[in-house]
Amino acid sequence: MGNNETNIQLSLGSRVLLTLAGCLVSSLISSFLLFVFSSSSWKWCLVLGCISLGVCLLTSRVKSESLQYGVSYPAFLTCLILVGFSSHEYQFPMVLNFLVAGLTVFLAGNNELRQLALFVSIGTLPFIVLDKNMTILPVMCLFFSVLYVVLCASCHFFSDKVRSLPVIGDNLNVLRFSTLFFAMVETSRMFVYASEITLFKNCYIIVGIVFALMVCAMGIYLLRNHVQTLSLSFYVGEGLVVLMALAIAADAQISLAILALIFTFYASDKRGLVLSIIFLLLALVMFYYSTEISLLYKSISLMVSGAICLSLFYFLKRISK
Amino acid sequence: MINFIDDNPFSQMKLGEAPSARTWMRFLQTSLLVLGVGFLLSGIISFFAYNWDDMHHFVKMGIVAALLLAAFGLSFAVGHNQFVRQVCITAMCVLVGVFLALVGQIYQTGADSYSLFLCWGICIVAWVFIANFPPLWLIFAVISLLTSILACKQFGLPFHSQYMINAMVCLSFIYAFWLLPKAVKSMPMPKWFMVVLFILLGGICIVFDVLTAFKDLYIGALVITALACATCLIYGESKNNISIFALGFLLLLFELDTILVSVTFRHDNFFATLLQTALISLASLFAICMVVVHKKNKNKK
Repeated sequence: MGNNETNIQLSLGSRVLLTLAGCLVSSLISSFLLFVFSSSSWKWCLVLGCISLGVCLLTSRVKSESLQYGVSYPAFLTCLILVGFSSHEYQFPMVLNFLVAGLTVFLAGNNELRQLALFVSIGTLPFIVLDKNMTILPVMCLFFSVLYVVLCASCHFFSDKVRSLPVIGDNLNVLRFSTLFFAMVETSRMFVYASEITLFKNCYIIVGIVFALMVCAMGIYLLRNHVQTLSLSFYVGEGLVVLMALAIAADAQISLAILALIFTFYASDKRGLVLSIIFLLLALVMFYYSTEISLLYKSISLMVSGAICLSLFYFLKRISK
Repeated sequence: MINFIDDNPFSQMKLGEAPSARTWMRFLQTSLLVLGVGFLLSGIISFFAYNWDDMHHFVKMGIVAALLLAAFGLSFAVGHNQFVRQVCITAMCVLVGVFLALVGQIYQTGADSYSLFLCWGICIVAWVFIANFPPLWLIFAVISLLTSILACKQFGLPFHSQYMINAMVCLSFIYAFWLLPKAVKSMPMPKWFMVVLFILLGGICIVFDVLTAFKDLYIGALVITALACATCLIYGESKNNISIFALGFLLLLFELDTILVSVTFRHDNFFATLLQTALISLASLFAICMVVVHKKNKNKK
């Protein structure tokens, strides 16, 4: 059965419906288990951990896509989520989650489950390391941002070496995009927190410029192989990117969204491009509704950005003739 | 000069392959134009939302009118470039909304928010047809939907009627974009555009079903969801679009779920378990159906 199904690529709709059905089944089984083990939470956690590992092993034994989407992913996710919420003790379920996710990275039979486990293990780490009474949000956000950006950058710059690793394999682009997306979301959250600290107050423009420079650096890196063929000198290419960075310096999130746009285009990832555009729209809406700065500043910075972008467009149009 | 329509930088993208220098150039030009116009328009909207008292009313209206005229002139000046012309017309359509809002703000006309959107929609309808630009059509569809939502709230209609009307508006847009391009031989709408409209319709129907499931069962919700579901299935089948086909199944699942929940809602846990089991079977059945349809489509290709 398994061998026959390996060649069939399930459609997105089938995957969604299969996962939905799987989630319903897992929640039904989990409610039964919860009823059985309600008196002792650690037993319940262990059972769920064992189920997660069981389904991972199953994916390495039976190569069926239907099984993966219908059983493995939903069961793995449901078990991990339930372990996280099942006990009032702070550390134990998270340690178990981390162990299960870590083992899954090595045991699972397909790359998607490995990636999922990788994300879970990264996500649960701060919960284990941090003290119970500590304010989690800012530290976790910082942790996530740095980690994902590092992971993303390493995947990007060492793609030839990374491609041969079983954890990443053929899904390099998906991983590259998702790491970046998480980084953006978490960094946005960090900014919300940072805006409440006196040190960061009134530094909106500086933060924007810092992120725009990051985009600029990335742009220079990506463009450097193409400037010759575009009949532009390297400095003109650099100048273009610096101007573009200036254009998007109005807001850090807008800069990040444009960085995602450049990244996903570079990776030729169409789905990633769509998500980046959605993130850009979201960043614009968030910028409009942000309360730290006045509407006048927002309007002027956006108009200046627009004017620079349009003049750059005109310049590029002229030189491409 | 790059022709943006024939040289779409996104159409030739292959996952994992680095784009060529020419593709980069096209991408940069498209992004810069869209971002430039988008930022400029957002800036103008923010500027007038700021409602600067020191600036005279006539100056404010003059700025918008001048921008409107500039965009109009530009759309003629770059007549040979279809994409730039369409972007100019889109900017004009957005500026009309800004101008109407400004008039309402200055003269305190007492107009309701739905009349603003209604007037905006009526004023731009001709340009929307002339430009025949999918993003502009989407803006027009959103304006129409917002008009219907705000009008329903303004007239104090019950929530059943509100959702019914909104779903009908969405459905009428879908039928128009599905059938009209064939009739008038205009540019067919791209795949993403129809997917967005279907997602909007699906969202409205699902929220409507969920809201009615835990109250008294409303027959209108079932009828409109059934209609939406049939539309998704027929469209998905005729256009070989598996995502929309799946949405049809999902809507069918929600329809059945609404009926089952409203029947078993006031009963004990046994019925709830029965309900969950029925839903599991249905979802699995639909998943198998999807696999069969997908295989059939692959064989056709």
